[in-house]
Amino acid sequence: MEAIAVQALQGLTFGTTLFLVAAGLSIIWGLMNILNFTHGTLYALGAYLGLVVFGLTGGNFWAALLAAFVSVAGVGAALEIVALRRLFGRDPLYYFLLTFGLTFVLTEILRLIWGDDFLGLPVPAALEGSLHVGIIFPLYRLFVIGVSGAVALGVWLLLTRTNFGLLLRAGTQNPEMVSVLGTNIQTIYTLGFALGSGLAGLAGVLVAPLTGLSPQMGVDLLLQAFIVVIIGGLGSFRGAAVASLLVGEIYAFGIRIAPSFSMLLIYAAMILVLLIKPSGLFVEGAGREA
Amino acid sequence: MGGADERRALPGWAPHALLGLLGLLLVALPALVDAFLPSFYLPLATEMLIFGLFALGYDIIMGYTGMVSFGHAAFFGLGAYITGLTMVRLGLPLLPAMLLGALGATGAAAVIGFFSLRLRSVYFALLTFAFSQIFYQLVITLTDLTGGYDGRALSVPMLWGIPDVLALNLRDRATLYYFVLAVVALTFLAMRRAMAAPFGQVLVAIRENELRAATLGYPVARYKQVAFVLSGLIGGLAGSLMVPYQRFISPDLLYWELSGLVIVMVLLGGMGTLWGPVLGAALVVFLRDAFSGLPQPYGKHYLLPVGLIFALLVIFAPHGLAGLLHRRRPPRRASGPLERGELAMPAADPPRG
Repeated sequence: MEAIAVQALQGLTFGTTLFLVAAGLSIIWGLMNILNFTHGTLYALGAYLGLVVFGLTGGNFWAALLAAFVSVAGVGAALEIVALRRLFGRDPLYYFLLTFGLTFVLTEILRLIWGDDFLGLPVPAALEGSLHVGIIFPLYRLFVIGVSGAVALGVWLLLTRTNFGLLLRAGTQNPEMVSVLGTNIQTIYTLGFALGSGLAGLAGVLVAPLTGLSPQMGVDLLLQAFIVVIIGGLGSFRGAAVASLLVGEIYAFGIRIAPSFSMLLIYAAMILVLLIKPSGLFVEGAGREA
Repeated sequence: MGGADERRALPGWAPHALLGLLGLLLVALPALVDAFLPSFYLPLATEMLIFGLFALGYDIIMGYTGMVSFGHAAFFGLGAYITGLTMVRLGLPLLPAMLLGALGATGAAAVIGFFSLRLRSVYFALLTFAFSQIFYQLVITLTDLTGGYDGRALSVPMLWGIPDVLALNLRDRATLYYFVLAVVALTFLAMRRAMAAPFGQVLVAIRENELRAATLGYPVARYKQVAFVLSGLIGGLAGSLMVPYQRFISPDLLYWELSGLVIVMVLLGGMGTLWGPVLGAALVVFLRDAFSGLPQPYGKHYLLPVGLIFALLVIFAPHGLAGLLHRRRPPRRASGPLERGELAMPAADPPRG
């Protein structure tokens, strides 16, 4: 029983951070039809920037989180303005290819600056140790769940309760109408892309103390985030939330039973969803079927 | 890049002359390397040819039929693994093992194509990607069979197991080069023929306007499936050549990075030309090698320029992509909305997925 509770919490830790990454991916897809391949690398970039700020500020983890969010959002905005904007109006495949090329570039830059070796980001001093309430669970993991949950809630409030969120959702549904009504849709795109990127960067810092940092750290996570948004539905915030937690728990329990086969199971689930309802479980409509 | 039209601007004999010249150069290459270059250029050329073959096969679906798969490394890797493992496990000589490798990749392509071709655009790419990841996962999971992450070293193969008859010594660099060249050249000529034949022309018609091709009575789905399987077959063949080349199989051979890299090769050289992708592959392999010669902190980073060139191509050479991917190329002789593909396409680009 205790083992199950611990495993469920592990799954929750992974699921909530996965959600931060997948939510960003999903917002960007919903808004601009960009399946952003650089997303995993932006996540890694966030972790590295967090590491730098953590060192500079003498171990201030909050500063690292904030700095990663802001600077990766900035990098995302720059990518949107410099590169992605030029493809506006073309088939989503072009975006996919472009961001794939940019992933090579960004990953190599990370490797040039920080090298290939694993680096570690220490768990903040205040969060060392474990919680003992019937079960023993590392304090930092609880912190990750808490922060991820709070950020997710914040993003949800931003999307549903603010004027900016309204514009973002309007841009997702009908960009022409948003333009006609006098809002610069291009600015909304840039901000939306920045928000999604920033979430990835933030998740990178949160996860870094658990997994360590490497230039490739984003790749595996990106694959998992792809799976999440496909199962949940590209563009659906709610779908990303449910699918993240689901995938997180499947991983956590699968790793105890048969690690590699649980991965196979998840890929199979993704294929099944793509075949039966390519737009995802939580999105209306049939998607782009032939 | 509209290869067919550009070729028409040249005199009719020009491509043949060029091809002949290139063929001569390739045949003479071992002698040239012997005379002028360090000897490692010959294996490098061999590798260029192998990846060239892979890219050539990919061109059939991306360049000719207008579909972007993001899981083609699966076929390359399967070809290599089946070839290598049947040699180790069943003691098969190289040629039958390669045949099995190519056939295995063909079978996988038939299954993956059957499911994936129901979708289009990004969804097709993602589905092929997911399938290829399953094969990758299987290879790293079945450690006893495949060696897992570490891969498996293989011994130098015999060509077909009959002593004294065509018993090529594939350990010899020049012999291996000619063996690979023969496979690549034969495939190239066969595909050139097939793409110029009605079969290839129907693929182009599907790329340019799928609805129109269907309206004219062509079984579009079947053509796409055949193109996909053919492409998988060639990918498997290319992968099987990796066995005598590097005598080692590792999961890199079916990692998603290679699936992306082959798209880069095809775009770099020019889609829908068959020879362009071979050139593109050569360029990527060359860049990797040129970079590995640099002082060490920079030596590993050939993907930086490759990625940059690729990104610039996607942004600034959209006509290399346009129309080939989604028929957005401005029409040349189109008269009505049907011919411009407008009626065919509105459902494909809703404001959101």
